This record gives sequence, C-alpha cells and structure tokens, in this order.
Amino acid sequence: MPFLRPLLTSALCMALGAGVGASMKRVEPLPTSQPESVKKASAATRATQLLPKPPTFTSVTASMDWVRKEISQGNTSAAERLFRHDAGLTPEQRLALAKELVRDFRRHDPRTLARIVLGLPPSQAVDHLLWSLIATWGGEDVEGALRFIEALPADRLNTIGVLQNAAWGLCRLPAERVLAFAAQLTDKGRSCLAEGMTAFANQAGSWRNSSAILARLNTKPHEDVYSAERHMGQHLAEIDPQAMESLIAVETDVTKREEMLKGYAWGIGRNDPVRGIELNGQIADQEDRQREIEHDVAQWLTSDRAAALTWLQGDVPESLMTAAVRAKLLKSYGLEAAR
Amino acid sequence: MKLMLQMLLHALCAFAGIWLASENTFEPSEKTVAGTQQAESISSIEVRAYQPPPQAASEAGLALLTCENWAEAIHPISQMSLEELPARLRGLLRNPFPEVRRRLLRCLFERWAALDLNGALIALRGLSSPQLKERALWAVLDLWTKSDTEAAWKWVNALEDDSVLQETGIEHLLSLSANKDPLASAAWADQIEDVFLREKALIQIAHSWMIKDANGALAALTNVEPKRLRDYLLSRVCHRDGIDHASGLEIVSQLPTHAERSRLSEEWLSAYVNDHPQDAFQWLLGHSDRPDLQKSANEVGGYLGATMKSFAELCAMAHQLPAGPLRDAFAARAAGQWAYTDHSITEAQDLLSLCGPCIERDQAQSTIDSKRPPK
Repeated sequence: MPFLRPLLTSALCMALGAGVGASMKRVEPLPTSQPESVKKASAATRATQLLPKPPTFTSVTASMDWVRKEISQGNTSAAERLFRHDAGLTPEQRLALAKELVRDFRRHDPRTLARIVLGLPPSQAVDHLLWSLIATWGGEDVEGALRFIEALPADRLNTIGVLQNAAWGLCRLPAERVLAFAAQLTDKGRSCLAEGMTAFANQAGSWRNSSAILARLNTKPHEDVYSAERHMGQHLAEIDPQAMESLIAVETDVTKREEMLKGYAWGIGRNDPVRGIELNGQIADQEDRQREIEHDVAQWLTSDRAAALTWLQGDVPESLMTAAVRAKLLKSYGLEAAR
Repeated sequence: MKLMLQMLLHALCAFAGIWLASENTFEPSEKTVAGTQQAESISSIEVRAYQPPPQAASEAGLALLTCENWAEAIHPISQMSLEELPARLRGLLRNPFPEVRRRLLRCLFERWAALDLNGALIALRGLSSPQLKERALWAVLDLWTKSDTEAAWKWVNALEDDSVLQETGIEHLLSLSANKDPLASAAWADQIEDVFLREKALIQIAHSWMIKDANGALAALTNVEPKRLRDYLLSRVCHRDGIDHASGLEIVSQLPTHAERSRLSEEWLSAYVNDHPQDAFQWLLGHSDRPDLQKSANEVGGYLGATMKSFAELCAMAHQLPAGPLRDAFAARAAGQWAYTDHSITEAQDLLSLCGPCIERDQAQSTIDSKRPPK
C-alpha cells in the first residue's frame, strides 16, 4: 500500500501529459486542412495553376515564342493555355495562332493541336485548318491520326475534306485496319475515302495495298464526290493510257464508265485537246457530255485561241455542243457561228 | 530527497505521456509525403518538379525530349550498346513530338544497324507505324548500301507481305543509286510492271537528281529517257534554286506539240516571274510572236498584277505586248489581280480596256465586278 499513492499519482501525471501531448498534436497543420478550392481541384487543374500564365497577346510570333519556351521547360501543353478564355484572345487571334501552330505541326503534340482546333468555333476556315491538320498528322503518324479521326462526330467525319486528307496516311495502313474504320462511315464517307485513296495512288502507300482496300470498300460514284474512277482515268491518261482504254472498254457499269471517261479525257486533253473532246463525246449522258466539252473548249481557248476558234467555227455536231453554248463562246470573241 | 525523487518521477511520467500522445509529430518526412500524395495534394506536383530530370538518352528521358533539346540525345545514342537500344526505342516511341521521334529514330536505327543489322531489320519490322517503319528502313538502307547494296535489294524484294514498306524501300534504294547514275536507275525503274510504283520510282529518281544537280538535270533534259522522267523533270526542275530559266524555256520551245509547249512554258514562266519578275517579262516580250505563250502571258500578268506597286508601269508593260492573244491574256489577268488585291477598281477597268474580246476578259470582268461595293 505505501507504493499505491505514488503509483496512482504517477499514472495521473502520465495521463495529464498525454492530454497535453494530444492537444499539441491537434494544433499541427495537417495536409487535409488545405483550402477547399485546392483540396477539391483535380491534380491536373492544380498543375495548371502552377504553370505560368501566358503573356498578353501582342503577335502570333511572340505567342509562338512563348509556347516554344514553355515546351522546352517541360510544359508540353502550353499552347492550350493561350486558348483559354482568361488568355483574352479575340476569335481572329485564336484562329491565326491555331493556324501557325498547325503549320508548326512537327514541334507540337498533335493531340494538343487537335484539341485546340476542335475547340475553335466552327467556320470554313476552321474546317480547312482541321483538314490540314489531318493531312499532316496522317502523313506523319497515321495511327495517331486515325484514332483522332475515328472519334470525330459522324457529320464531321463523313466529309470530303476529312476523308480525302486522311487517305494520304490511310493508304499506308494494312487493308484490314482501314476497312474496319470504313465500316463506321456512311456511303458518302466511303466514296470520299475511295476518292482520296485513288488520288494518292501515284504518291503514297502501294497500289497493291490501296487496290485491296478499294476492292472491298465497294463504293459507287457519289454525286457530291469526285469519283475514284475519275481519278484513275486522270492518272492512267498520263502513265498508262492503253491500260485505261482497256478498263473503259470492259467496264459494264455505265456510271463508272462515264466517270473513267471524264478523267481520262481530261488527262489526254491536256496534251491533245481535240482527242480530249472526242473522248468526252463518248459520254452517254447528254448533259454531262456537253458540260465536259464546254469546259474543254473554254480551257483550249485560253491556251490556243486560234485553233479553238477554228474548231468552234467548224462543223461541230449538236451532240457535242448545243448551238446556244457555241454562240455564247464565240460571242466572247465578237464572232458568230458559221451557218 | 524523497520528495524530490517523487517530483522527478511524476515529471518523467508526464513527459512520457506527452511523448506517447504526440508521437506522430516527429515522424520522418517520407511518411508525411506519402500521406499527402494519397490526398492528391498540391505537394505531389511540387515533389515531382523537384526531381532531377532523367538523362536525355535514357528510356524515360527520350520520352520527354522536346524540339528544343532532342539533339542532346544524338551523341549518347551513337555510343549505346546493343542491349540498351530496345528500351531506348520504347522511350522514343512514347515521345509526343513528331519531329523528335522522326530525327532520333534515324539516329537510333543507324546505331542499331551498325551493331546488329539483322536485329535492326527485325526491330523495324516490329514497329506498328508505317511512317516510323519507313524512316527506320531508310536509316538502315543508307548504312547497308555502303557495304552491300545487293543484299539490301534482296531483302527489300523479299518483303512481299508488306507492300507499303517494300515500295518505300525500292524508291529509297533507287534514289540512292540515282545519286551516282540517274539515267541507269531510271532505265531500271522503267521496267517496273506496276505503273504506280514505276511512277513513284521515277519521281524519286528525279528528286534525287534535282537535289544533287539541278542544272545538270536541266542540261541532260533533251536526251533523258524514259519520257515520263523527262516530263516530270521538265515540269519541276524550273522551281529549283539557281536554275537557268531562259535555258529551260529554250528546251521547252523545242517540244513537238503546241499543247506541251503551252503547258510547260506556263510552268517555267510561273517560276521565272516568281524569282525575277522583270527578267521574266522581258523574256515574254522577246517571244511575244509565239501563240503557245498565251497561257504564260496570263500567268505573268497575274503575278505582276498582284505584286506591282505602280499601275502606270503595269499598263506600260501591257502596252508593250503586241495586240492579240498574249496581250489579252496578260492584261485581263493583271486587271483581275489588281482588283482582287484591293487596288482601284477604276484602274483595273482601265487596264482591262487594253484587252480585246475574249474569254479571259469575261473572267476578269467577273472578278472586278465582285470587288465593286454593293449599291
């Protein structure tokens, strides 16, 4: 019992000390006691808050210099900060800067550029910028470009601008990959893709690969799209006219044959206008035939006026050119058709 | 004494109590950092910012290089061991900048091919991106052809399961051989059965030739075979720096058909006027009796109408050309461009009055009318 009192008082002292210690611990600032704005913000947002604010816009060049400087310091998405509303750029300045960034494609992360372009208010200029980005990206890294294109909304995706420019890169991918992508396209979209694939046949990819894709795309000429058959006609007129004539001769689909003829006639007509007109004269559809020939003759008049006028004043069959069109063209020269 | 001992014991107990209750306050700092990371605190970003950057040529470093500092990796890559290369390739493929990937991929595959050619060929075929595969192949072929061109050709010809890679290989090999003997390369390329591959190969040869010796290519034009190569060179060599445009135009004037002369003169004068506007106009004036220069006159008029400052001078130029298709084409296009570039509509109309009735005048009139302010 003589030890009981000191034992009890010692325990009491320890308990009191613990109380004091606990109260000291409570007054320590804890990480969780950060302001609400920081605590709730995502890590990315807070990272952005740590990055320097872009300078006030003075010129595209100055902004580009700032972007490059920031990228060199590891801030790879600096360009995007210029497009935030608090950066204070006008729509025109935003567009001008976006154009410059796309022109400078290789020095930026294409995904950043894509976000910037898609964030601009829709306009024809922005569409052109998007197409330019797709063509450059597809030519540089078609896999990355395709992932971006696949995510575009259908109304933006199924357009000649997007798909023809994408074809510049897509013609290098394995057929199965392109066909899997094409499955999500509309008929018009597939026609646009086929047109692009054919247009680049003499420049990129391999014809073995492109023709394997085209064979299974199974497209038909679409009224709003320059056809693959027409492109083929233009190409082969220059590099293998005999092969093209054979293809035209065996083609049983009237629409495809006419498209081949139009392209082939254009290519041949560049070096031989009379032969170009003759070929266009084989087009079955009267309206199409006469429109093509009128265009041929207008071009001829600007390169060899004397020969073209002689042809126009000669015995031109009504099936090739109506009297009204002939009279209109001759009237431009103060002439009349011979009777 | 006993009292003092009791006081000391109580003080020790109190201190022990304080220590036990506030133990965490003195924990090492790592634990605090770990706790704040879980809470996604701002400190996590700061901690990362304070970490020393990885070495430029490490796997992580290659993924982070930018266009400003990619060159720092060139030398380390050129010294790398074979074992290091696969990881470095992985790092490089994670880099988001096309320019960095493009340039360093070349360095990396040059090194790989130097150490282990077969390994490099296997590695490049494993790349999924066709463009990166293409660039890697070019780097390997550049090295391989220095020691064994025949083996390089054999390997490329065997690439039947990847026609895209095979064709880029053929084009590249041809462009390399064209540096030594363009005509022999072209003769070989002309035998290719696939017309599109043949076309691409000839274009590649033409490019190599023009880059190496544009004036040499121009001088050889009259004898160049096949015709497709000659046609391509004729339409492109005019845009190379330092080319003698007057000599080229002389070659074009010898072509057999009016249409060819017209089309190619237009191309040449377009390049000429862009480089030397006054010389190009004087050349046109000196050949203004040639009807096959009608389209060329249009091109020269368009350029001068868009760029000249003095309207009087522009009119004087049009006056110097003889009345007929050339003057009409020149004056009409110059008037259209004068209006299009926001000069006086009245002046444009005055210039157009120098043009006789023709389709070019109708087109220029439409341009001028489109620039008139609405009534």
